Amino acid sequence: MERIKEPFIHITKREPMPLWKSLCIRFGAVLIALIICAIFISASAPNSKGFFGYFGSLFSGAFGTERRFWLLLQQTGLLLCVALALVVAFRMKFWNLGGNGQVLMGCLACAMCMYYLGGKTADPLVWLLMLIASIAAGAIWAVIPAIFKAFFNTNESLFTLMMNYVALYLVAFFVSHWYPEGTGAMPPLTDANLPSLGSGQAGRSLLTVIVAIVVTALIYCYLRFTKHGYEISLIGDSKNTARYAGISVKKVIIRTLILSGALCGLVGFLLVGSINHMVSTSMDGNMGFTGIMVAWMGKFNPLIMAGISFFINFLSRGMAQVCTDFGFTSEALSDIVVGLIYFFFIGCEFFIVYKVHFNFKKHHGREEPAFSMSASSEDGTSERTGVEREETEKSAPAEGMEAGKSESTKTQQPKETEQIQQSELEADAPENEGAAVKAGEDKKTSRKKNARKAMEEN
Amino acid sequence: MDTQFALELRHISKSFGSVMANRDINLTLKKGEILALLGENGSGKTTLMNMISGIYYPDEGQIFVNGEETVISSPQGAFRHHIGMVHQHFKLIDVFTAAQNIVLGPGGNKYGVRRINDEVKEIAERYGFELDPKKKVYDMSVSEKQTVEILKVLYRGADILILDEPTAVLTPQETEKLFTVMRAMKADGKSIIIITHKLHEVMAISDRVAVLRKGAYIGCVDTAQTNEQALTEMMVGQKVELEIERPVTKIDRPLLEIRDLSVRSDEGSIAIEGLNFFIRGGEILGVAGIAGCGQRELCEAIAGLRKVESGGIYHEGDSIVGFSPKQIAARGISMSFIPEDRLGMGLAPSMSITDNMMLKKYQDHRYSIKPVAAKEGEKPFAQKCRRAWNAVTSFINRRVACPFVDRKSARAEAERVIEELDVVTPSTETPVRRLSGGNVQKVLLGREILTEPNVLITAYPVRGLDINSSYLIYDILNRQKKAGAGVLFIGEDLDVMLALCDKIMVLCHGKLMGVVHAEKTTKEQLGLMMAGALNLEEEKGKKMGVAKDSRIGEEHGEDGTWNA
Repeated sequence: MERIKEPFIHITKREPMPLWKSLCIRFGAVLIALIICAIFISASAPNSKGFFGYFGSLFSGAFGTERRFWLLLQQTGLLLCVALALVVAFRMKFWNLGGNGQVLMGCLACAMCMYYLGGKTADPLVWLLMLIASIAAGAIWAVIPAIFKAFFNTNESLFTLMMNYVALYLVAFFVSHWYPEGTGAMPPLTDANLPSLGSGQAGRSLLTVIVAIVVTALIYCYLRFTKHGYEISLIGDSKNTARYAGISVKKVIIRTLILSGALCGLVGFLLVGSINHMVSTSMDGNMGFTGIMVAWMGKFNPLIMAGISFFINFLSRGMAQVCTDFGFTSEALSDIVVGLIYFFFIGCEFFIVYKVHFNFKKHHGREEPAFSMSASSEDGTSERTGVEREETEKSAPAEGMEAGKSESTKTQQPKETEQIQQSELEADAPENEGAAVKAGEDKKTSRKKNARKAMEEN
Repeated sequence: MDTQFALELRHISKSFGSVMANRDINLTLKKGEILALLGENGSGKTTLMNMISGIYYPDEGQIFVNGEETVISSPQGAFRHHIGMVHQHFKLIDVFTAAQNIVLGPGGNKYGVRRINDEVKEIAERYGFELDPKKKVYDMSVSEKQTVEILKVLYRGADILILDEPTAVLTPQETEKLFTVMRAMKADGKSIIIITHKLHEVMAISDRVAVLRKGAYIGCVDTAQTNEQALTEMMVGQKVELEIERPVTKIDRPLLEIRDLSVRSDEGSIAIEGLNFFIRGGEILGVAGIAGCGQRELCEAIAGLRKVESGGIYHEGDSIVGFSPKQIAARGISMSFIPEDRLGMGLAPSMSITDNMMLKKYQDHRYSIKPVAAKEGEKPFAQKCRRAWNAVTSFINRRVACPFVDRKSARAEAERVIEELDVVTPSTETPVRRLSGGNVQKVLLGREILTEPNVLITAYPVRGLDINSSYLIYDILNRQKKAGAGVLFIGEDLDVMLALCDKIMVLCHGKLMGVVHAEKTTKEQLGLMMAGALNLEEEKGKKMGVAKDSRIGEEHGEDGTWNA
């Protein structure tokens, strides 16, 4: 019978996999991404220090000296706080994209207190005012879109996004208002700086780290154990159900966004009061957007998010060091590599949730001895061979990367692949009846190899 | 290849994750026959039909159309093989006319308005449809929309038609009309697969019946050689008692009274107009009506979720108009509402059973710190400390608002509901959306019944449930009735309502058509009332739905205070 064209790729949902397995996949994905970057960079760098030198630089950039380590913790703490602020709103399906703006407003309010009151009033009083003003400014910047959302159902993503720019130009205005001459940058203020809690970088970063730990613990409990947290999840899940339960949705939206903005304002307070002692338009460090990624990759769970934001800062700081050591002058390369790692890390989520089935035989008309008769009843089984060739996390993206390199070895493979596929089939046959899905897992490694070869061949 | 089969499926399987929706299904459809596809919810009927119409792609197996093996990978592919599906949810463009909707899609020629009108009219007449091609879809009734859907499929030249639960939205009269058309199509050589739950319709229209159960193909029988009881057993896999009980109870005074109620829909049009009715304790009042004629708005208005335009709602003589659900609960009014959209309104789908149990009372949790008991031989100072501590804790218990939720007692309740209503679930922490329809409903009903309501409002409580679960739900409602609660039962299956309810109230476009005793009425009469052709209120010339022993007068002076 004439062969009929069937779709080549066929994607289905996988049954939920156990936690340890998905964790292994994620770690594996990151590891492979790092190795690929290592190969790539050590081979192409003008001032290469070799494959292992790459890892050396990566870790020394992040943990190399006490100062670097504390800076890493400080950045992690700040990013985590912003991400937690966002997650409070995200849990309610309120997409607060205004993290940057809310942080900047916190910074601005804090800097205003320092600028106008510093040195004129007792320091502790100024500190208190700085804290209150920052938190209030952040909260106000978040609550404006919330009010519009609650009463007029405006689009919160757009609204919060636009508020970022307003905040940005407000900061620019005040900086140029305070310092009309010069480069337009603000020199660090000397009055009313928050005290250092120790010596060196550790002392300067400690406050941020402590605040981050406390905030994480509080938000975790808030979302998980309190009535407010319950209401937030309920609204995120179904607004109608929340109404049915007698919750005032408007009230909760506004209340939650006040909290979200206040946390961002708190970050602004730390940034200006404790770390930089000045304000600039790029002070937010784009954390409002990186925080979104932290929130999603952390599955809205504060504890996982802590790990993710540590990982993200480790990467960016480590990669910056790699670029310096390997003689790249452009910062862009570090961004590219970090982006590549993100790509793997996020891409593996797809393979955790879905399974990709390839349909080799029919589409390409390659004869497989066992099924050359292609009797109708067996067609389904033969398709299974493609089915079980599950492209796990790493193989698919890695595939694309390596396709070019392994071109030379291609020609020898067809025979081998056929044999492997056949033996694989025999192995699969008994399992097909019952737990077909499970079959793939055991032979993951060998199969991955096969899949890659087969794909290259085609 | 010449064959008697218009469509043949061999060894079709399809799974979604770990769920095997279809397992090794073999099915044949002869040319010019009507095949009924029967199965409980979740038995894989719709999945199977979606594979035939190109929406899903089977994991395994083959499809033969007119004896030739085919691969249907898209709805367009299905049309190329002359297969057309009429979905349960209509896919029409509201602002277009019938004819415009019908010619939309296949592409090709320019659309000449007059020509297409004529063409559509011609097809409609051939099969005996009644349809004005120039009518806009938003002006149409549900049955007209369905007609457009069927014509659309016919216009594209389908020889194999799949109708997914076409009768769910029709009155008995409209269903009969649809069946006449289906017979005309069959005479014209079309092959039809009809999916339905209603056994008597299967018996009336089909030539053969194919039964699916839990994704597997059970068998195919000639309609002439079977009966409803045998089909049910095939469907469920065991003997099922098809009798619905209607216990006789001692009826009470009216618990819930509705006077001249008017409510607007989301779009702002009047959904309920001048409605009067009452529910007594110990009775089940059915509400019959075509889907979307104000049932939802009525329920939401009573539950305090929708603004009341005018009129009154009285619970045991107390007006509850204008109260939010919270206020209603705060006044100690024990009323429960089981919404039709269970996962969209009654429950939070991603949250666990435990979390859903505390949905309505998570606010009530207070601190309950136990006082320290006195010990023998206590020193005076220790005693003072203890007393002071106990005073502080009792103050906290009484006065201080507790910010935390109480999952412990919610979990206990969840366990109780799971136990009492046989909810099938891995644990109390399973998100409710992972449960099957029947179990979802059991969780919802269980939660509401735990609050011991004396008025229970249920909107389509058995929608999407399998037969066993449905009978369990009827049983639960009857238990509530025996316990003296008044039950408002908004239903869709008239046979069930005739058997279960004590009285049936019929709505048509938000207006009361009359209240009848279930024992004294017939399906035909209800059908006429649902369609608006019979208005008992006008016929008998008296106002219906006002109780003689109304409790409204008791606290509200003379009758008439309810007139807003």
